[in-house]
Amino acid sequence: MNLNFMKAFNENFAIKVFVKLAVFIVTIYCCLSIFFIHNQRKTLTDSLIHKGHLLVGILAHNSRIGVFSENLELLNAPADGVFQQDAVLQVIICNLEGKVLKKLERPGTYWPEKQTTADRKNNRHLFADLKQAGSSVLRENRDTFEFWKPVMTGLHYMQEEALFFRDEYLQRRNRIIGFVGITVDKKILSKQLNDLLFQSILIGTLFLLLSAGVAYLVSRGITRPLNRLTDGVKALGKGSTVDMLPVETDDEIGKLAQAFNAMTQSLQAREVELRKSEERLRVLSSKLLQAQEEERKRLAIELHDELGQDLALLKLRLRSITRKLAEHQAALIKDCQETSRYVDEIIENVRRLSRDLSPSVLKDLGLTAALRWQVENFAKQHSFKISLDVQDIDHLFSEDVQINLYRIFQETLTNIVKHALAKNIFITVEQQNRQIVFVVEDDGKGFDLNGLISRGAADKGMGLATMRERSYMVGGTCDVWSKPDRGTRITLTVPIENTGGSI
Amino acid sequence: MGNAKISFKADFRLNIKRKCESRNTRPRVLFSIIFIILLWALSVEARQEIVAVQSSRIAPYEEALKGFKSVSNAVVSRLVISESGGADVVKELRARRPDIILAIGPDALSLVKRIKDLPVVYLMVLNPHTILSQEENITGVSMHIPIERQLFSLINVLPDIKTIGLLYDPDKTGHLADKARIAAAINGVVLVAGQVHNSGVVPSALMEMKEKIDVFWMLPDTTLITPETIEFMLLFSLEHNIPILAFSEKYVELGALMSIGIDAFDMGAQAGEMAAAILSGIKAHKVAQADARLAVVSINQQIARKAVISVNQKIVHKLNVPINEKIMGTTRIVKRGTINEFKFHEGLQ
Repeated sequence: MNLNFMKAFNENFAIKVFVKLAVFIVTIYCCLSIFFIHNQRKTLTDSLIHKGHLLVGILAHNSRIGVFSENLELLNAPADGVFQQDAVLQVIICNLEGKVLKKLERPGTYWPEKQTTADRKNNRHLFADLKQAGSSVLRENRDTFEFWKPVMTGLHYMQEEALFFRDEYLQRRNRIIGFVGITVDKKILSKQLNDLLFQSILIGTLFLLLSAGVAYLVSRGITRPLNRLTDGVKALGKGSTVDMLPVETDDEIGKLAQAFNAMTQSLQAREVELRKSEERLRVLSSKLLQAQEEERKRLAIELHDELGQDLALLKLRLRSITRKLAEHQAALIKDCQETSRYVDEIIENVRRLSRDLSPSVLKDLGLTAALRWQVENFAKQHSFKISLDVQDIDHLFSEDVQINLYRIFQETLTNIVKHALAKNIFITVEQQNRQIVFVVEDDGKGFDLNGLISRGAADKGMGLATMRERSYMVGGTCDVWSKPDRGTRITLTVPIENTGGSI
Repeated sequence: MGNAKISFKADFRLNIKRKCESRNTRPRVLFSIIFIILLWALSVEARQEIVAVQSSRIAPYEEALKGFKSVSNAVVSRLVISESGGADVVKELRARRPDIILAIGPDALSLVKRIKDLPVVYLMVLNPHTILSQEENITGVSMHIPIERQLFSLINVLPDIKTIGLLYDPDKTGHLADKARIAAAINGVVLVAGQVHNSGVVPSALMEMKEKIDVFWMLPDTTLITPETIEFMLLFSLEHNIPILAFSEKYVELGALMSIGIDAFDMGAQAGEMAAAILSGIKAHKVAQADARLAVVSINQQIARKAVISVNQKIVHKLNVPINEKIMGTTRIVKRGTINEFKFHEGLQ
């Protein structure tokens, strides 16, 4: 799975672009989210602290009368009002001496910091600080914030006359008459942050999906023309016909498509020229082979009719000379007889040469028998073990095709003799579907096919080229497989129906 | 001023006599002489100096000084104690020896009462008897408005009241409470008076009388009046629909129904007239100390409209000086007027 993904990632530009864009977006989103959450945590904390200061300020203001008169009834409303706030866990109102006048605690709240002697001592320090500061004080615990504020009273009228005047005319002298404190739960921050985080994740997911869609479209927009280019190049490589690619943009990809189209047009023009040239060469080679065959036939006739007749006549004359010689010319008689045997050998060689040049055996026996005869004759001449399995393929091919097949077969065997140094030869001729498959395999030294291909035309020799040309002429294919020290296998496949091709 | 005018008349008669004896003097010379004499007389009057001593420059004192100057032609210079930089004010006054010392406020009066050889007129002092002890060179106007007048005004504004609540510190306003009891009895109203000895018990004392009273009468008592008790009293009034009679307009603006208070300007003018009498040659101890002659009634119209107890709208309409003041975003309309503008003012005297 991972390997497949990595392979797709490495090979597919669209996936690469998509994944990189997605990673980039996720990174940006995560950074923004972290920044946002961090910022929100700070803002919420500040807001909670601000709210705490505000509430304790309101409590201090509203409880002035109650603290002043130490009247619990008057403290109920201010304390309850602040205590109704969700985050407030505890409300404490004390007089100037630190005596608790009113205390409200949210039921079920666990208080790890129960009032101890040390705490009361701390509170005394706190009240001293509050008296000195005159403003609200924040104490942060592990789970809570504590806000404390002195309860201030305004003017203290020293003279009855001052009662008549507006307060702003008088010198203001504030004094502290008590203290109020509230404890705010920090968990509300976590809850708000969790809600915020959930919303953030929800929005982020939607954002990511949207971004993924956009990234997919963008990557597709980039890779679609590239894929078309790739397909075009592949098609060009295979030699297929390639349509002109649409040029949709003026950017680099558009220019690349234009260049590709220009290259395609140029290659197609060259291809046409090459094919024409090949066609011309093929026609030429076909005519050459045809001429060669004609020449062979003529030579065979000449050899058979002219040289053969002359040699027969020479033999008759030698026989006549031998008869005319006297008995005491025994040495001459012996020479004539040996010369006559030698002429017989020449006549036989001429006949064989004539048969090789023009395989009359094809006409006389048919392709199947001609092939068998050729193999048997070949086996007689050379010391090979030959395994022959030939189906009857007579009447499947025209005469010209039969000649070409015969010649290909002949060339194959000649190549084995010349180069293979083989001991065993396996020959099969069978029909597969509508094709006849000729396979000639030897256990010789083989050769490096790639090395042969990379050689120049002049170094290759004509054998294989002629075999392929003849295969093409009969509408078939000639495949060669060989490896050094592992022998050679030549497979000739010729369609039965498509017996066209002319020599 | 009066003294200056008399001098002028005496000199004028002497000159006329001389002119009549000469019989040959031309009218032009006569007019010149008259002009010179007039300038002399004016210069004599201008040399009369009054030094106003005040503890600070607060608005009511400034208003009172304005009222004083409005009726006095003497040169009035000012000596502000808070701005003297610790200098001995009494020593300076003794050095300057003004014709009259005007003491504005209790601090100034407490300071200048040590001067025995110069006439002193005081004003803006609520209870001068707590400061003075039979000094013959001192007279003036107190801020006190007779309790009977206040009660009468209250009854006229709220004709249906039957019971009045009142809290007092016996050490400070016990005498006022006593007077109020008598006045209430005379007017057929029940006075529910409660003693308090410290501010802290004011809320509970007030709560105790919430079922018993129709209106609460606020006395100028520093034991009773603190910012907290004022706030409580106003909330108490609002919650229980018990109107408050106060002694200063500032409480009316905060939510009391009405106040009967002083007019600082008129009080200054009243003191100015006393000073004029002294300058005219009348000894200070012959000029009787007086209470404020003018009482200012202020009524909060909004509270009056909301009051459960019926308010005499005729009186409300007669108050002709509207004061609009924005407090906490709402406009509270307070109307004020002097007691003398009421038809029943004769009854108040």
